[in-house]
Amino acid sequence: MNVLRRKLWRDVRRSSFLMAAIAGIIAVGDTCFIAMRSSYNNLRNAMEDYYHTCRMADFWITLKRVPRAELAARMKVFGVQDWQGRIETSGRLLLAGVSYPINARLISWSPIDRARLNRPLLERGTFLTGWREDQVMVNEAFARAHRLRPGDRLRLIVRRQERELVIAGTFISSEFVYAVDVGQLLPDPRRFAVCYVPWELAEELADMRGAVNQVVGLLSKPGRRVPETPLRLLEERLEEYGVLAAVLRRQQSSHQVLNNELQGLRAFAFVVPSIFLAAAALVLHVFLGRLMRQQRTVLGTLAALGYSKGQLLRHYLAFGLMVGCLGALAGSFLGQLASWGMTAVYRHYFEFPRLESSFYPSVHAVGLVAALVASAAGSYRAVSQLLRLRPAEAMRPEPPLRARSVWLERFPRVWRRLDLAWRMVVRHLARRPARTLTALAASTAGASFLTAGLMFVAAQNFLIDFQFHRMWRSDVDFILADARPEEAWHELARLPGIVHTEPLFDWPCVFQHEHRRRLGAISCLATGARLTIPLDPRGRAIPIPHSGLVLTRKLAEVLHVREGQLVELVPMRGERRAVKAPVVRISDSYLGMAAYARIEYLHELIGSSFVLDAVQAEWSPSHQAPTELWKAVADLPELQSVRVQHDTVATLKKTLLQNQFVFIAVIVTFSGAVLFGNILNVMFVNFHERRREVAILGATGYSVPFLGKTFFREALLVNSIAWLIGIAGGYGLTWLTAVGYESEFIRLPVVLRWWNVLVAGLLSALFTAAAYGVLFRALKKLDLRDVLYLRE
Amino acid sequence: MKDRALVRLEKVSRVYTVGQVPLTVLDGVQLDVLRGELLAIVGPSGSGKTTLLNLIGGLDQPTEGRIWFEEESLELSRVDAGRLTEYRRRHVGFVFQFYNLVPSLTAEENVQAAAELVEHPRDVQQMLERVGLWERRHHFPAELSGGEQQRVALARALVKNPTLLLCDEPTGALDLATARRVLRLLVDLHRELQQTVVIITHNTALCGIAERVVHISSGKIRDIQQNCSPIAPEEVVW
Ligand SMILES: Nc1ncnc2c1ncn2[C@@H]1O[C@H](COP(=O)(O)OP(=O)(O)OP(=O)(O)O)[C@@H](O)[C@H]1O
Ligand SMILES: [Mg+2]
Repeated sequence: MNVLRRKLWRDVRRSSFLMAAIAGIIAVGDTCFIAMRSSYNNLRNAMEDYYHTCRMADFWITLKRVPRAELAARMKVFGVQDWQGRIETSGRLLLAGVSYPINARLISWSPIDRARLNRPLLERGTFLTGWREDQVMVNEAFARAHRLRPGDRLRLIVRRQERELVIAGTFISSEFVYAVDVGQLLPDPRRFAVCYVPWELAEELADMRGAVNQVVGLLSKPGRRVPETPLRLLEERLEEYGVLAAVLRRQQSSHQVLNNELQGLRAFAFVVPSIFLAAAALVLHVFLGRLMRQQRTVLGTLAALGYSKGQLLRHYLAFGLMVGCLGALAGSFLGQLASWGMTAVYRHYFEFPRLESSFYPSVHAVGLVAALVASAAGSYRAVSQLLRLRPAEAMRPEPPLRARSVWLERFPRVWRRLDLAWRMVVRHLARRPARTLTALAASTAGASFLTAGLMFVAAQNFLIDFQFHRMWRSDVDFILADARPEEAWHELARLPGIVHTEPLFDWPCVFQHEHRRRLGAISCLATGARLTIPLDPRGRAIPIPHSGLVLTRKLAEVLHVREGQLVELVPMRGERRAVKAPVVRISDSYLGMAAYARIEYLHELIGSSFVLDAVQAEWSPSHQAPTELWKAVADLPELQSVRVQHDTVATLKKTLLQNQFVFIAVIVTFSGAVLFGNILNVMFVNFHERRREVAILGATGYSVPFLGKTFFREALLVNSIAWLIGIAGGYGLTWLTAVGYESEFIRLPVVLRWWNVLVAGLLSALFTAAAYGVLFRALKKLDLRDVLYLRE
Repeated sequence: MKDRALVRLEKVSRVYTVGQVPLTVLDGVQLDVLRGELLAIVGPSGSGKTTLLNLIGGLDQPTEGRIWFEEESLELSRVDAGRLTEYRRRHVGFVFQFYNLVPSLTAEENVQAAAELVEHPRDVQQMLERVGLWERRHHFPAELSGGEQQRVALARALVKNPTLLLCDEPTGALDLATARRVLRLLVDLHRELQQTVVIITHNTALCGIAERVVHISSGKIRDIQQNCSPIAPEEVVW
């Protein structure tokens, strides 16, 4: 073996612990990258495959009603490659032995050309046959959740009509990769089903004889270039049939969730590793800076012997590159494992025919290259700085650092309060400002990441509290099949276990302000409603105005409307005569867009008598398992669906709690790698530089804990400052994430809780203490003779 | 043969700038290092000896004047860093005041490190035997005494079979007895192999062993003496 290489190995072995710690930071970065990028590829490949084989639609147009015969002529628009009309409606399912309500999305199945678009994949049983009307296909997740098999029976209720159906088969569908009920965040296959029903049955149940209420379509290649154009054209041409909604694939609910996840993965797979690799580069820079100074004479000697700059550069860069390689290797291994884990979790939330976890050599290669680039960047400056010296100069001892007076000394009142150890700490830190700042930057990266992670947990909890405890406070919502007079409300109020009810009228309309339009609905509430409460940004209730509207911030932003301005409302029901209403207040919401008005006010506005189409209810606290209630509800044919908010919140909290636990563990480990690794490095670098000083003090009789004190305090000071800056950094990161993730459906609250600050500080102190533990052992092992009598 | 210059310095000056103040360390030095001679450069501390040696050995370049490596008509004062490295590698052996062994390499490996740099090195074992340290070849510098370390450094300088052996205060950190042993080695090498040796020292006692003595002070050469009857290293006293 080449002698220089042997030297490298020996030197590496001497600092192996530190180098491993730095490699740990790189490993964290690469683990994140490989895990997220591989998961991204897995998801994306699965999605693209699935969409392709199933001919996933490019647009969905929901209408009031369009005669089938009219459709063909209207759909002849440039850019539309294929389309299919269908009937879509919702209802309730009743299963033997299941007490709670189950909501169902029903889609018509054409016996002739089946589902040409969004083709379902058969999992078990058979597709529907043309001549039987009492058949149904249910989605596999629902079937699994209730252990249903082909041949089993279920009851279906749609608009006061009840049918008993036989399950022909189970399917999965590209339209429902993420299958959630309207208004839900998480899929709950026990309470939500997607069903294909025979065409005739659908016509009958939805009252759509010879008509359809939805068109799904595929765009041609030129059409896909600007998909808004053909969609707008179609909207215009179908206008007279009452277009309720026209959405492109990216707005389709299942795809949107999937796509959000993909975008998030892609962004985070870039941002998070960048933070860690940058931190690693900084730490490595400090480490190599110290190594190079220590090896100054050796470097000069080697140069004097005739080693060329290139050879020496390679020799010293090798330290950094080894750290990079080691980190990349560990990152590849852990990242691959993590991508399996993540993909398994995704399999739980997303239903794909195949979601395989693959090994992507290119992803690993990029990870390796990134690690090497980071380590080379971290090392290069430190190494080249010394190599720039002429060998004659390198042979001379380093000019001593000027003992400057510290900025703090100008405040004698503070300075006098500090004991000797603290003064040493401050002087040491001030003596090498570049190194102190570098170490501070690395720790700040770690602390910011930690704070952001904790803030994310706080944000989730805040969101739950805001939306589900303060804003939507009902235990159960009964949605009626159509608008009914007041009696319907009183009837529901008499249900067993119900202690309080409020009427709700959901009035779909198009909001218009200047040239901006947006389809939505106004939630009309009773005066003094306390089961749905619009909230201001501080979470305080906004009373429902006597006249005028309350809009959520997102909707107001979309419409560019301010408090006091008028918006135009074009109703989606009845004759479409526009009315105007003032916006009285802007409220806050993190989920979805909404508008609120007093129920009587709206009726007055549109000139109708008092009707309602939903009832929100609170059940008695003693009624935790309202079997009786569900039994009574099952017999109410006018109910279209039942939303059990109470259970939704419970499931949501349980799921979030489980996820948060894993999430916090990961965040702590990752940020710990930086905070611990960086501080360990700083401590050891300082220790090696001050070995003589320490040895002299030790020989004089100072104890090891005393000697360690300055190092510990120095590290603690750095990490504490990093912690404080990290609060701002974490806030910034969270804010950026919130901005990046913001959509019309969800907004991430940016909230900093006192416990975020506290936990981040405690953890940071803990990592400092752990690093000090390692240093303490080294201090105890320090052989004073070695240091005092031998030159290094 | 013997009178031919190996390295020629013409009006060489070296100015350091510390802060704003220029500091002239060498001032118009005119000197030939002759092939096969044993040259001593003496002068008080801070007179510019190390600076001069560094210039001769290609570790540094002058601010003014020219330095020629005559054998290859190479102008050391003008060539780039790469050529300078090449020159050091093939022609120069250094022995430093503080030995400067690589601490993480054993005695043998330190010598090996130099041997690997040239195409036809001398035998590592022979060199270590010559300085009497073959038995201790597996020891690390920290496990050797100062004199032993300096002998390893000498072996390291010689293993490359350098045209020019430059010693900067080779006995500066040694006691008299050890210093005599190291000097004996230098003198023997010079005699047997016609090795060109330049020794710099602030200790005039060492001048006796040299064939030519250059006196330097405040960066200027004050005198060059010819020593017709050099003494044996064992006769050196201080
Ligand atoms: N890189 C440098 N920068 C600034 N000044 C320098 C540098 N190198 C040498 N000097 C100064 O040049 C002068 C001569 O230095 P040099 O090392 O050549 O002296 P020397 O004769 O070898 O002394 P000694 O016997 O103490 O080793 C000294 O005053 C020294 O401070
Ligand atoms: Mg000197």
